Amino acid sequence: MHKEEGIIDAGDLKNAHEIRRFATSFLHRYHLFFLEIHYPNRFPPLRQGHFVNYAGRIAVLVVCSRFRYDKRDMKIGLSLGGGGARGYAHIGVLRALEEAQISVDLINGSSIGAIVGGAYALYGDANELEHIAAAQVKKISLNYSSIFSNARVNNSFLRNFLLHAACNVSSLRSSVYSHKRNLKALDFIFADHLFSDTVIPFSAAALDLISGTTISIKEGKMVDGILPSISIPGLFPPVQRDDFLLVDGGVLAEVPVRELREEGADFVIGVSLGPDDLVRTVSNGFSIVTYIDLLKGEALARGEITAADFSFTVQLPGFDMLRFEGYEEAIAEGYATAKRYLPQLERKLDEARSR
Amino acid sequence: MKHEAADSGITLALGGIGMRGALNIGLLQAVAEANIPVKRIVATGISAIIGAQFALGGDLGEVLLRITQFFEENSRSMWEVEQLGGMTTGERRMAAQSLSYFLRESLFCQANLKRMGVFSWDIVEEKLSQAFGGRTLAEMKIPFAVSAIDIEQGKETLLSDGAIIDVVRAGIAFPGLFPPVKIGEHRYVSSATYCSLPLFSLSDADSPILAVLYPKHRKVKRPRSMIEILARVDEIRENALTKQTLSKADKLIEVEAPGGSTWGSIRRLDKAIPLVKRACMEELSGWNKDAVSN
Repeated sequence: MHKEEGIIDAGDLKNAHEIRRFATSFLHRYHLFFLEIHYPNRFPPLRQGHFVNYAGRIAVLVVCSRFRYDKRDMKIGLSLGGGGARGYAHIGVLRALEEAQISVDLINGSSIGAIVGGAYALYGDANELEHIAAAQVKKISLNYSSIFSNARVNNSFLRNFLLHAACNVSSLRSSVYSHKRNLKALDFIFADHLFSDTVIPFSAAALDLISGTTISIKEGKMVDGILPSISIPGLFPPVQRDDFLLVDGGVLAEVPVRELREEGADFVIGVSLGPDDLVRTVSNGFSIVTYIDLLKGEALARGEITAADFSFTVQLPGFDMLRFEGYEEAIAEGYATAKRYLPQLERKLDEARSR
Repeated sequence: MKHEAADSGITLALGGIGMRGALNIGLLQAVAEANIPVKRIVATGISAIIGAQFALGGDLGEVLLRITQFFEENSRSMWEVEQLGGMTTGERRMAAQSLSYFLRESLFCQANLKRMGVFSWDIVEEKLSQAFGGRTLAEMKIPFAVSAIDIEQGKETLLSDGAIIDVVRAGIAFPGLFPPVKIGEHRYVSSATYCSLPLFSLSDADSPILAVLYPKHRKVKRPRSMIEILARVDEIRENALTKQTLSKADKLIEVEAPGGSTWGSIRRLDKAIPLVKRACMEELSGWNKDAVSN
């Protein structure tokens, strides 16, 4: 029996329904392509030529499509803590999350967490981050040799004399180091990218010294936004932005969990870097004052990370905060730790989703 | 005054640095006058001296006299402290008006790197032994504890037994100002610069908890030198920690410290204490009946 044109029977209707369902799932899976068409600014323009630019975008899309990205899902936020050179461990954590196909919808961080988090938000690929880290360590010397580091080992007259001189001079300065090397390193990673270029929404946490509150920076050039977040008070000068005088967000929030919640994350994963290698012996009055200050920071960090839905610490005992050359070790440790916590994390995520 | 150790009653959390700590005399007078039973006192900073005297059933006027006398006698060594308290000049920068700044400047910049504290215990030894010499915490009429930081363990603890003089010393051992106090195997410093109110180790068993806060309302100026920055960071952290623990207090009275409240303005105490007392009396009149009956 021939069907008249223009008349649709029940069987066709079912097919049409299936076709529509297939089309939506297809769209859903590849919606990033459409996203790119609609929001080209969200994707990072790469530096060298059109071909590389195109290839880079494809790479980003391939990486992104590996995630189970679903708009109906809750928003998963990743909050990365500070800890100097130990921060490379965050790259390992990110790789482990990628492999487990846990998609991250929001990222923030303070100190080194802001650098790694920002770079990941921009490039969207943990392997890319490792290449950048390797290239950076080779190209830019981040060896902040410190006159304070080996105080107990070398207690000579000359050293004491130099230390006193340095102390007296530095009471006139705002910090021990300048931002010169930091800017060089940040320029290397972020070039001229803006916060709006990131694949994943990202914010950097910094503390305003005037009002005493932690603020999230999420607009403008990434270099300018991340620089305040790594200005460890005393070590680097604070950064003036409008009416704010900004230093490292880790002062109040080592892992800025609450700030990420304010950004709209429903489930926050906090990653901190340990262990706290506070020297528990004090030898003079100044070390007591500093020690109590560090204890305060520790207590505050503890309070902050308990606000996360899931948190873990990457333990790097004996790993110097200034040893930027040891990045491979840190990445491996971060990866191993994250792998260990993944089953628990997935269980928690499922629980949260079913709620 | 009468105070009896009772299971029903309130817990007093006394804190505050310098003059703010001494203002708690006003609070204790108000508590005594309103006949509110006190079951426990936890103190730190100068309040450790005042709280210990109150718990012993001693005269608070006497302790006030001792404190002011101490500052008069040691005015020479307290000169810098007083100067930072704003008694000498109005031109000094506000950011410098903190104990934290003073300590860092004295210890760090003047290269006193070998010393454990700016002062030695000798300057307070005589006054403390006059007040508490040879007595132990077991003699207290009201259970008393001092909040201090155990340097070896790196955490806040409550010292509630031993000689009063040792425990009080641990309470006033501001890190950097005095050397740490050794009790048993451990060394202790005051928790007053760690967190303004000693609420950390208090639990539900201690409720209702009464605490008084003397907030600083001063305009923060832009810190410029490294030490100003570090001192400001210190202050921000202290405020944040205090804010975190405030929820433990069942009743929090906020009194604007009259006549300036910075370190060293101890000579204005005579006028300030009655004001604090009056403010506390007003706040307590409505509260004590429901709280104590619980």
